[in-house]
Amino acid sequence: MDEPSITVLVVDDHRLTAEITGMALEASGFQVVIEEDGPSALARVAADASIRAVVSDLNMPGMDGLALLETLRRQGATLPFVLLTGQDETALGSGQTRPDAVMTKDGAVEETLPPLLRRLLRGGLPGLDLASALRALNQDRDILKTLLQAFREEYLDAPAELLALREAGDSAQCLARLHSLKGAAGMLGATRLPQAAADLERAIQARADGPQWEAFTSSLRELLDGIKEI
Amino acid sequence: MAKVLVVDDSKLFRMLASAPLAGAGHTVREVDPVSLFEVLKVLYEFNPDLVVTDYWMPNCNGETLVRAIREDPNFHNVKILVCSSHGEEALVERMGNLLVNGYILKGGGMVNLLARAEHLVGGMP
Repeated sequence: MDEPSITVLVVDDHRLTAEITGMALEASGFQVVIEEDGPSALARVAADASIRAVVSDLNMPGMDGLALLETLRRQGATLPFVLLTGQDETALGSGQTRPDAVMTKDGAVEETLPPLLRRLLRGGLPGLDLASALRALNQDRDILKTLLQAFREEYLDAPAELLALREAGDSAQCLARLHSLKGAAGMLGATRLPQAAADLERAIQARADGPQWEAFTSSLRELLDGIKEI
Repeated sequence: MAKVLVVDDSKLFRMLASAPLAGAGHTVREVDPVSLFEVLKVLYEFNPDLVVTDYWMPNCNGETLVRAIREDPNFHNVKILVCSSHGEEALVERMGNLLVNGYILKGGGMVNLLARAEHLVGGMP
């Protein structure tokens, strides 16, 4: 049991689906309470101070998951909010209020939801100084998410691209791309990646690169995997 | 609030530099330094209070850009903050001699960039 004292509110108009999600969370040590519609969920959050996170379905009659989130945020509730959806994320539209994480309903939810919730509750992202980044952005989580996603898109395939350049003998281009990555990672507030990139940069310049590739790749992967779950 | 021009060949980096500055209420414009001419054109159009610029840029060397700004009387009051991944002492000294107003490393993060930028344009209405 990892987090026996943390209560999570699961909101879904399909009781059975809510119970299956709840069982996965309980199996990981969370306590779970269930509501079947948005207004009941709002009342529950207002009345029960032990609730530390909300996992909600998107499509519900009356108040849907996004409307529930927007109302909670308007009321000042800052607790982590995970939206479960059967749709592609693009179906979420362009609303101003974004959930802390979006998960597609599939068989992986029971494996991935508990660790995701623990991470959100810790308020951290592996390999990133999240508090510092948020401070620079006036606590604007939506802007930070946009920046993190842009970083992920830019460097998702970076290890393979860099290695291909290196193996093709184009060290100059490889170093230039690595240098840009190092700068962007540093500006973003990455904790381990800039140093790993700098070590690899020096090793390539000295034509002595080897184990630095693994350290670089694992630092990058850690950050990108964390961003993916946001 | 100040007008800030962000110059970097990486679009991602321009986003990372602009976001905290815009979030703090400054008017930010980004320019992709495809050439020195392009950057100078935007400088004349935008007339910024502060230029945040990278140093190593393939089509517009940071040192050349700083010299161009400093030699133009129209930009007499423009502050320059160089933001680079390089921290070699010789480079920092050379940039200092070119009368830049600050030199920071990208590794310092957005917090450091915002703090230094606000220090340089502090007190602007």
